[in-house]
Amino acid sequence: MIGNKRANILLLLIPTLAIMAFFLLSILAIARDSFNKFVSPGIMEPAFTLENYLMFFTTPAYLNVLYRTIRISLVSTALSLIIGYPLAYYIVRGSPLIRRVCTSVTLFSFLTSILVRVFAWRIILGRTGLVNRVLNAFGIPSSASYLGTELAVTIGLVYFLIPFVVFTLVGVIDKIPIELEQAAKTLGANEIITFLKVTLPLSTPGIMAASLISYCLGMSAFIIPLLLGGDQVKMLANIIYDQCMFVVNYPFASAAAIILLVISLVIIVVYQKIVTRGLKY
Amino acid sequence: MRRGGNLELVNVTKYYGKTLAVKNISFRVNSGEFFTILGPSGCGKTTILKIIAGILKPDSGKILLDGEDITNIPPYERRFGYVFQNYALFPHMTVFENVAFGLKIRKLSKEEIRERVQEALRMVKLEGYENRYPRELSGGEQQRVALARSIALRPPILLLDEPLSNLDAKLREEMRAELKTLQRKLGVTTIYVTHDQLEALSMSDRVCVMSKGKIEQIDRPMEVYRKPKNFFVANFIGEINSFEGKVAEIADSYVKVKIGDEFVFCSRTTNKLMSSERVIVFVRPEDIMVSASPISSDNIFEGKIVNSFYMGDRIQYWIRVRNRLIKAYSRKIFHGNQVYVGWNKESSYILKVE
Repeated sequence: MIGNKRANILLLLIPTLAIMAFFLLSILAIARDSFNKFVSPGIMEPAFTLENYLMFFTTPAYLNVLYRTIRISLVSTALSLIIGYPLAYYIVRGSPLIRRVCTSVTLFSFLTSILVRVFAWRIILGRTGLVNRVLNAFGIPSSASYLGTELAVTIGLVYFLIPFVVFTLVGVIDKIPIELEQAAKTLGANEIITFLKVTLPLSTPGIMAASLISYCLGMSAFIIPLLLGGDQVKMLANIIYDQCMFVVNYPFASAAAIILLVISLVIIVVYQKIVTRGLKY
Repeated sequence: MRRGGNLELVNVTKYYGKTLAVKNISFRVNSGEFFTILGPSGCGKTTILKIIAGILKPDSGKILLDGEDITNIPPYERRFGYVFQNYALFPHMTVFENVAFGLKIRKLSKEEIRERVQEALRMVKLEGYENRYPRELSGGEQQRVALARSIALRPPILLLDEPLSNLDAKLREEMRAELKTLQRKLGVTTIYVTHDQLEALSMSDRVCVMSKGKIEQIDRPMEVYRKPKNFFVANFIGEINSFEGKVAEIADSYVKVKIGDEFVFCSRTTNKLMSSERVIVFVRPEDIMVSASPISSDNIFEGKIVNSFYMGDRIQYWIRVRNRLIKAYSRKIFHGNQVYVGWNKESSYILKVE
């Protein structure tokens, strides 16, 4: 560090506060708007009303969207973990060839623009897409589009989340000394028992972190449900977008945004409390 | 308590990619024997141990246990005890759970597991430590837990990979004695890997000296020390002063070797030597006498002390004789640096030059 410590801390404090202010202030602004009264598209009246929140929680359509968002996020998190863990494991422990293949697959997927990836799924799942062509080739007639379903959105979201899961887990699994797995083997544990009794418990912190990241990304998913779910499968971020752009009901859009933020925060806090209590190592 | 098994390695070879790790390694370890593989870092000794355990697969060769070929049997079916250099204790389990790990897999009853764990902990003097976690233990205690974990299964073969190298000197000495006593009591065939020749000499029934993936010599500790087969073994074990020279005279009771301008008298060796043959003569520092006045001995030289190191129980002297540096020990402190060094011909060992 150059100069004296105090000056350095103060200097670093300025950009930190600036960034915090940037985010905090925008959230505060949205929160403020959520208590306003909606007059007509684009026009709102300053107020302190709860009617926007009430509208959200009393309209079945919006509640459905909320449940669906939570549901898809949880399912996608689980699936991306199930697929991502083996990938991460073989990136750390696999033979050089397997390592290269798994890393390339994950990296290329991650580095490709999300729009490109989502459009690729549109093509695969569409009426004349890859899925139908393969099914037809095997003699199974199929011409329905798989788009506009929760399945499509889930597939797209899982595909998006896997690299995040893998990168988080690789760091954690790499830290587990291979001697522990070797020790377990010399004590009579085959690959499965070694995994269940040694590797898995020790990678729990990584699994927790990866699932948290996945879940947060899932909750705020926008492009994936937009392009793969269409009008049939909307998630909370899509509702907020619609309300902002088409209905131009800022107070309601703001309320929905705050609801998304709060529910995500609550789930994160509860999750962390469970994790830190159950984690003894 | 089941007696230890016989282990045999036949022509085991292993490559890491293009690099040779070990080549054509063959040896037998007898039931109940304490067998040490000794060598410098990178000589392949840990590779051999891992191959014996089944953690690594050899590229060619066989491993036999009591005559049965176990080369293709996975490590979890061989169940040889293995103590790792950094102990490899499961950090998320207590001492009890660590030691019970292998027993649980064997599906022993709860009572039997408890009995065996307590027995194992008693043998390594760690009764009462059952509920502690590895991170709460000192290095020495962790090492004993690792040992208990391996012997709780009563394996036919016990493998130890430099288990004492992370301990301080005093603890190492204590553990050496404890390990040896424990091994004697259990009668388990033990294969010990180390680069510390003091450990190898003091604990083993036989020592296998390795260098660069090959075996140099397998013998009892005293033979390895007193009758090294080649320069590598002579230099690696104990300390030596070595000189290159030519055989000058072969008589009934001695061999005279010309080293530089001097002659050194050596005892008759069983090696067939020819006149003018190039040889290496070595003398161990502890066999050299140092004195301020002339000594009567087979070999006497005048020299000058150039360095001295106080070691507590004795002093190590570096003495220049002609243009060579000789290491020797003495209890005396010399005033002035002119001294005489001497040793008898039985202390001069001759090795052929390779």
